[in-house]
Amino acid sequence: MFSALTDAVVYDIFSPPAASRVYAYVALATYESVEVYHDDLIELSGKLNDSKAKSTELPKESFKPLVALTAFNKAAKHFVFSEDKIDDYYQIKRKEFKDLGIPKSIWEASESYGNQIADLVIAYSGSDGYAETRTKKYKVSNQPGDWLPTPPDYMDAIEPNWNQLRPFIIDSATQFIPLKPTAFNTNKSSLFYKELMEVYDVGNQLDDEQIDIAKFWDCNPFVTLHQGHYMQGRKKITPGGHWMGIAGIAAVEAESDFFKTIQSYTLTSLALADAFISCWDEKYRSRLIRPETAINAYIDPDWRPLLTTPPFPEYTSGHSVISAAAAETLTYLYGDNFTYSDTVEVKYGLDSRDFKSFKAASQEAAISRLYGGIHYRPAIDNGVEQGIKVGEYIVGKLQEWNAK
Amino acid sequence: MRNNIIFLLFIALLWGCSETKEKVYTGPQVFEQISSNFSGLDFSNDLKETMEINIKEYEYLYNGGGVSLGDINGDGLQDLYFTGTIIPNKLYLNKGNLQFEDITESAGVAVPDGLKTGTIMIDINNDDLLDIYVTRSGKNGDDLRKNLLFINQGDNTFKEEGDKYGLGSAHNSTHASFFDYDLDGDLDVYLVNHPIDFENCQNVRIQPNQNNEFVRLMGPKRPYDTDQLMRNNGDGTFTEVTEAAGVLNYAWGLSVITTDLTNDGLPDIYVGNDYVEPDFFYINNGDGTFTESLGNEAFQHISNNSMGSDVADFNNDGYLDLIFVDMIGEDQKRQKSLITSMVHDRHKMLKRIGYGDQQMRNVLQLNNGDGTFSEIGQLAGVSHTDWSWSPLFADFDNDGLKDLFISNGYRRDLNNCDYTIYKSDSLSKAKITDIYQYLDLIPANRIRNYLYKNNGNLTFDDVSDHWGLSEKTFSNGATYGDLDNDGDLDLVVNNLDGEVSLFKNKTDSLFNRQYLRIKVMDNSANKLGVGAKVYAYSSGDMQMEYMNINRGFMSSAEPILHFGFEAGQKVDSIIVEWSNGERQVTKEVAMNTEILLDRTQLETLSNPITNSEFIFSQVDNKDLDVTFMHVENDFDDHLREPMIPHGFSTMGPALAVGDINGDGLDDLYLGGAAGQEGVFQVQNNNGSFSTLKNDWFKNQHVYEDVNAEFFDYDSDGDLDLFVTSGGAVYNEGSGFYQDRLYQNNGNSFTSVDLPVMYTSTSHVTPLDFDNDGDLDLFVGGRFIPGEYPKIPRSYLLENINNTYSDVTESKAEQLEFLGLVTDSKWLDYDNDGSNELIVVGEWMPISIFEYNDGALEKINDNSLADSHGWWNTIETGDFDNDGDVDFIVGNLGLNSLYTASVDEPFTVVAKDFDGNGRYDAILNKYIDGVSWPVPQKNTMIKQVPKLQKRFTKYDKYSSSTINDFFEKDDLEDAQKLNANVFASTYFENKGSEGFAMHELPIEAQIAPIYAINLGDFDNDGNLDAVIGGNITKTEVERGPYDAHKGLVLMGRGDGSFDPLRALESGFSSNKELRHILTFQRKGKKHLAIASNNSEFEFYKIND
Repeated sequence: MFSALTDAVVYDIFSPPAASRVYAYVALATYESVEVYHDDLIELSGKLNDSKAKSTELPKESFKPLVALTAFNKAAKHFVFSEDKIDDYYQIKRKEFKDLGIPKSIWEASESYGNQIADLVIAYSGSDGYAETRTKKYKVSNQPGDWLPTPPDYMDAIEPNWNQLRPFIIDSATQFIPLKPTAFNTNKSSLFYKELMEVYDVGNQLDDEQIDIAKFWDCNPFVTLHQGHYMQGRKKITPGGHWMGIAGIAAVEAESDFFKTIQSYTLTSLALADAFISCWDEKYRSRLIRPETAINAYIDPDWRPLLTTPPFPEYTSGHSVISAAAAETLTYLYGDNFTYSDTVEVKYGLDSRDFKSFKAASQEAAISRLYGGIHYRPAIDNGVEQGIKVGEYIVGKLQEWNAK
Repeated sequence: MRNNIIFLLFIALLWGCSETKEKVYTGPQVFEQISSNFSGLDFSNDLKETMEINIKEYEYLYNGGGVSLGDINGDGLQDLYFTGTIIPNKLYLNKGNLQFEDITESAGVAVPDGLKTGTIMIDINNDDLLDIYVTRSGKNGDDLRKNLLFINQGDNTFKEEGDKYGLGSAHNSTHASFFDYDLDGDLDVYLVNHPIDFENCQNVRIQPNQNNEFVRLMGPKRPYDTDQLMRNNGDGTFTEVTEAAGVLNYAWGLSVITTDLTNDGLPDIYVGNDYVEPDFFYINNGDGTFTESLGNEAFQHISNNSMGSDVADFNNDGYLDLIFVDMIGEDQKRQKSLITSMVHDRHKMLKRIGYGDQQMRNVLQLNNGDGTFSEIGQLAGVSHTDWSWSPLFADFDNDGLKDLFISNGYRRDLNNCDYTIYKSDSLSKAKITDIYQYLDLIPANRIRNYLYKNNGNLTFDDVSDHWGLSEKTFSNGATYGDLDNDGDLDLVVNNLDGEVSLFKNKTDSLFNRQYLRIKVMDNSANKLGVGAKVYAYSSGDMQMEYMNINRGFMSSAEPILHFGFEAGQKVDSIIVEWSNGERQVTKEVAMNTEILLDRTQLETLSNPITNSEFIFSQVDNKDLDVTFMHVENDFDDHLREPMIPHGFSTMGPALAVGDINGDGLDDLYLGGAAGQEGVFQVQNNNGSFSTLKNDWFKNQHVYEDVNAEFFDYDSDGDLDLFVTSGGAVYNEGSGFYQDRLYQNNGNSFTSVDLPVMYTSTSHVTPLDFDNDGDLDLFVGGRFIPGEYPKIPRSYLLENINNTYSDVTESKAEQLEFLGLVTDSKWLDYDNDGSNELIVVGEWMPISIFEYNDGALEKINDNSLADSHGWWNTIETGDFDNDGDVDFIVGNLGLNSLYTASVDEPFTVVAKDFDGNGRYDAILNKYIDGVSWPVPQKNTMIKQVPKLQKRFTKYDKYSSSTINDFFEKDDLEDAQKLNANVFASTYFENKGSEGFAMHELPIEAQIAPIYAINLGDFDNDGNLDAVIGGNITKTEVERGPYDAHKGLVLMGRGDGSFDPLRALESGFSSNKELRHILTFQRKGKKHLAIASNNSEFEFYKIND
């Protein structure tokens, strides 16, 4: 189900924060359509920020997988651009269910309920400020140390108003403001310059393992390879999409049932979405220059990082924040010391990697940004800390809701 | 129901299909394509790609080959040499009657190896035999990259002696230009080279400056990256002087022009560079060195991906103009489905760090003769010719006007958005064993070349099909010459994966016209006369041809200058100006023949006396002691509203003239930008100005002054000041848009209360509309910040006992929400003894209001019904001396991609389509009879995100009109405005017949007009006009309007005008003019000029 969603998200090239929003609402719609059928799943409507508890009348009888499929289908098609990608999956699954010979009344009741729940979630999404965040753009400044568009496409800054989006569980975008980044300074003895040199030096002496790690966690939804006027696009999963994949792997590994699987995706997606909001708030507060730009200006005009620099300010590292938050959530669901093999990137031409725990994976995702040459170390260290705080808070809330 | 019918009619009017009203060429077909079966020209630049040699490995593989032309065996017939990219080159001997013989093998000029690029025929050793220079490029080793020089042995064979001459450079070369940069009489060479790290071609190179701001880093990364300058030692050898001459560089150069662009007699170098690197403009310092000077504002903007180029005097004014071609298509489909580099943030960043203002379209740089150029490609109609290579100016129909040929086409549409974004990803995972597995995924479209006929008024008509150039090809290098010696110019084009095209010119049999072909011989070291300018004078007309051998792209033309003349014309005299500036003359030249101008045989002319008496002469600000500068605050309108056609934040400064202290001397008010208070400048007896001390005035700095007027509002005998607060920096409803009235208290001004006017206003017109003896006011609302083009409030303020009261609703209801008002005049236009209010604005017709029964009411004048324009300013006077008042109204002008006519109006449809609280203004423009939305897909999605879902693919977007964007219901209640005239216009008052609209001269149409001042400047009894404008705060996809350099229109007294440019009038400005006013100083009339973000400037008017 969610891999069909990921295919659409990748195809449509949603930016990392925008993708996290798509995942969260689609997962939420699916979850809310079936949570009532399982004791371990609590209703999230009424608990998430600004949401209202459902009052939809439950059908007398229903076929739960169809309820979920219907809600998923409706929500996914609402949020992605390429609806045909969702429809391909939907039609196949629907036919499978049709072949089961479900009575017409149950079939219709299931679809009707699934659609109603999806409509509720879509309506809920309508007030999250997304439309309003489209309206203002980032102004590139003249200040030394400020972020500038980066090679090779010099794209406009992605989602400068993302902090105005309503989070799902955390209070606000500013609830977990990280430490300030190291002050920009081009004096060779300054801390900033040392951190800059670290990116440069590490990038120039990467070993094979580091290269593998960097590429594994690249998760840049769209990179163009230039050869003169020739541009070849390369699409990948987003950081959030990668963790949605891990949520799926964990569910399979833990032999979770249908309901637990949906829970796994959904709670992970909410943590990711809130982590992006928290991280993007800091990005456009500190507006820090990317290592590639600073190295080009002060050290080596033609230096290129291993990974293409993503088009937004440097601090904190998005992958560090969201990976840490997702790892906290998955650890809550499946426990620490959860061994698994991450095969998410196989589809994108990379080998799988084995991890002993979600937290270990999240730490590798974080440090990969240094190897990739796209982040200084504080964005990683402080980003992980920021993500842990977001994750811990979310887990705390879930525990609190569960206890009631 | 009735409303629906009206709506449907409106829709039909706005964007229904309609007949295009372009002028259609009705003359004969000038060219006839000659097949290779007849001509024997069977060369085809075939390109078989392999896993090793392919476009992904080396992007310049598709740049194709060149062609050079010249008589190699002295039989009077022009021979042809073609370069093949990876196949051998070919040399064809002209046997007459357009038949050719392939003598490549026997001549020894095949060059089977390496990647060949440009070719030039030049007599390098001045033995009267044309030699052939061939440039090479590619990823091969030095040996296969060396340029080759084939020396003509005089027996149709050649010997390669590149190294012997010192011209066997192993850099990656595209072309070369031979010219005498040090004026020592022999020809030196500039080699256009490029790096081969194509993966970095869009990456900027930066370094910090002293302020830690990033600026462009120049200079090569590797030794082979740079262009080269080779100095002729005078003994048949060349020495590289690249570094010493200061032309060490890094860029993907594709063509070069070597000629004097600064009017100092020294040849300069202008290199057209591809990709992100801007062009180079090397000014010759006269001491063997050059200074890169692109930033010196001679060129306001340049092409982005500069390809081929040409230099010629296309408007017959004696100055050489330039064209550089780029790669944007003319039709909607290709414009919107291929990638554009005109992206907002990237563009702003490039400008800021020194990469210039690069526009992705062909640029036609009109030489103003004073060291500046006006880019008029859009006015001329030649800005969009798709992926273009070889522009060639030549008079193909012998009518005395140089026409323009442009070759184009690219083997595959590498820049197709859908390919890059949705298709090419599959390749990153696929295992490619045959290169065509992926090449075949990329769309490929052969397209036709362009031929433009020169209309003689700075514009061209596309006659490609009418003249017989319909063939669809991937064309690269091209040349022209009289191949069949019938007195007209034939065309030859080198095509990729297709036989060369030969077009026979039939002018000799179609038109009763004449020609003159001129060879020039400078001296024994420059027998082809390279660098000579030849001026042919015939009964008052003048034409100039310039001898340069390298032309267009990778190609060279015949070393003969070709002139065309109408039947009956005689050439009175011919003046030749040699490259060192010496001028010679010959008289009474016979027509329809070829002549030689030999420097040793001609009469030398003394240098012409230049007239230094101008109507206007600039007065140094120091003489006036005016130091105040308008400093515009940094505000980007397009961050708030990405799709508005232009910003509103650069409409200042205000300027007002009046005697504020009653000493009989004119004083000034100079307005400030938001964040800067304006100043009162009081004139002293000696003509200098003192600043009026006014401490409290400092808190007035928050307002953006766009217009100011001195008048006596309280009838106490002194001049008070009204300042309109405009601009865009504040949000709608901000108190900082409040207009201000300052009362004159003798030696100081104090603020007077006005009604609340929280509107970004454009101007104020004092008027006694109710004839009660005091001055009331009309104040025009300019726009609503963030909600363009929603109609703002305008104000009628009635003076009641020296207090202004807003009576708009009760006494001028129609004025309240009239439009985006820019200017107005209060005068008696119909000689009925009472004044009327004439109001102009953006998207507005010229609107006239008269006072009737206690209110101002609109007069319906049918002659003004189709006068919807983007009017910026109006001035009134009797230009045809018939006793009534006519109007001159400044508009957008015609040097724009936006076009408007009555049948095909330019429109805007606006509303908050996606309910995100932002007003979406969608501009639409007719192309080929259909009204298309103007913005590129990405910009549109930024403004209306919900459209992303409807238009995932660029292909679909590129074929959609606004009716495909939204449902009918959605469009029904949208705001709709239209414009049907963009020409700045002279409105002739014809009394009871209303007004007749006449376009101002074409010279006035090259940019928007924002400022006009009228007067009889030459004292001939006829009213003249000084004109200025320009605006660079424009939407990035369309680019800046910057072509005005100061224009004076001398009235002839009958409503027509003679344009005088800066060179002729002395009034010169490269800036964004907002107001021009006259004032008296030391007994002389002066002009005061207010330009945005600039010092104020002053001119004395000489009697």
